[in-house]
Amino acid sequence: MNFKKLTILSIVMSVALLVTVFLQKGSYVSQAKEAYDKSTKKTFSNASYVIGAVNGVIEKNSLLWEIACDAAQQAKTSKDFALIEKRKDTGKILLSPDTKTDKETGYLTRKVAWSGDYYIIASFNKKNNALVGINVDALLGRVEEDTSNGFSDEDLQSSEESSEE
Amino acid sequence: MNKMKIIFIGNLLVMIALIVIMLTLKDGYKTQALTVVRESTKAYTDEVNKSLFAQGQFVDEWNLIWELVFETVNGSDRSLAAFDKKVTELETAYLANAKNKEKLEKWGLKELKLNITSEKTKRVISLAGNPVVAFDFAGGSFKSVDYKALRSVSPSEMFKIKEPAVFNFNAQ
Repeated sequence: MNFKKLTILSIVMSVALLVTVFLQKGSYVSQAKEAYDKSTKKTFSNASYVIGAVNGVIEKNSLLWEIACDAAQQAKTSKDFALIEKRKDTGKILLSPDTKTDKETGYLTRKVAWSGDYYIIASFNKKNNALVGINVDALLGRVEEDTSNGFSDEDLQSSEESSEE
Repeated sequence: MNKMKIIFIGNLLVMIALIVIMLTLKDGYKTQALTVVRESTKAYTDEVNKSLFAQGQFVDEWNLIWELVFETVNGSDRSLAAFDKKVTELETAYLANAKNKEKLEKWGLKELKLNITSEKTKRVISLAGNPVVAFDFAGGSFKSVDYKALRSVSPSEMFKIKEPAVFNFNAQ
């Protein structure tokens, strides 16, 4: 009687083993799929972010380049420059221009930017408002970590005051 | 009783055979899973890197072209010879930068050359196979430059990352 039970038990174990043989592949496939999905989704997400961000920078920087190149050819004064800036920024992506006086040169500078990292700086002679030059270093990645950029701390008001003197 | 014994012994042999089969298949599946995951992931990463490298190269070339346009419209020497010299200077300066050299190595390039078509008094620069800037040097000195096409380049259409393919355990 005991031997009969042992035989039945061993048959049940055989069936269980047979089921395990068939199921084990599924377990490996599922683990492999999980590892592949996890890794590739992370790659996809990171790369999509980089590609999207760089595409955005190209599209926005091209506006700054266009303003710089147009102004270099057509703008004589700060008024001309501001007009070109306004006319070209149809998508209204530019921040309000930051106008200051350059401590070293004494020129009035106008910083046109769409972000803290990407901008152009036009310099004007305070006496006649003539365009002196345009700095595109930030577009070329030539700006050092120190973001003082040669600007003085004087604001527009103080520069206007000094020009009146 | 004898019949029972035969069944028991037969079943024992079947169990041993099943255990051997299970262990053999287990090793095979494990190796296959590791190989497929490694190769499929690498294939996708390579594809993604290809897009990232293409975009990186495009950006540097795009920036170099804008710099050339800017330098040309601002240059004091407006001759065609000065323009040609400027092109070489920009390409050389690019190559002299250690960071750029690293990038070029990654992209499998030795240098970054602008794609310029030269006519007698014209220079046309192409980017990604399309003409984007045309310089006119009628009479030997700079007259005009047309960069509308460069301005309207839309990288979003050119550089996209495809979603990973559905996992295939039997892909080799």
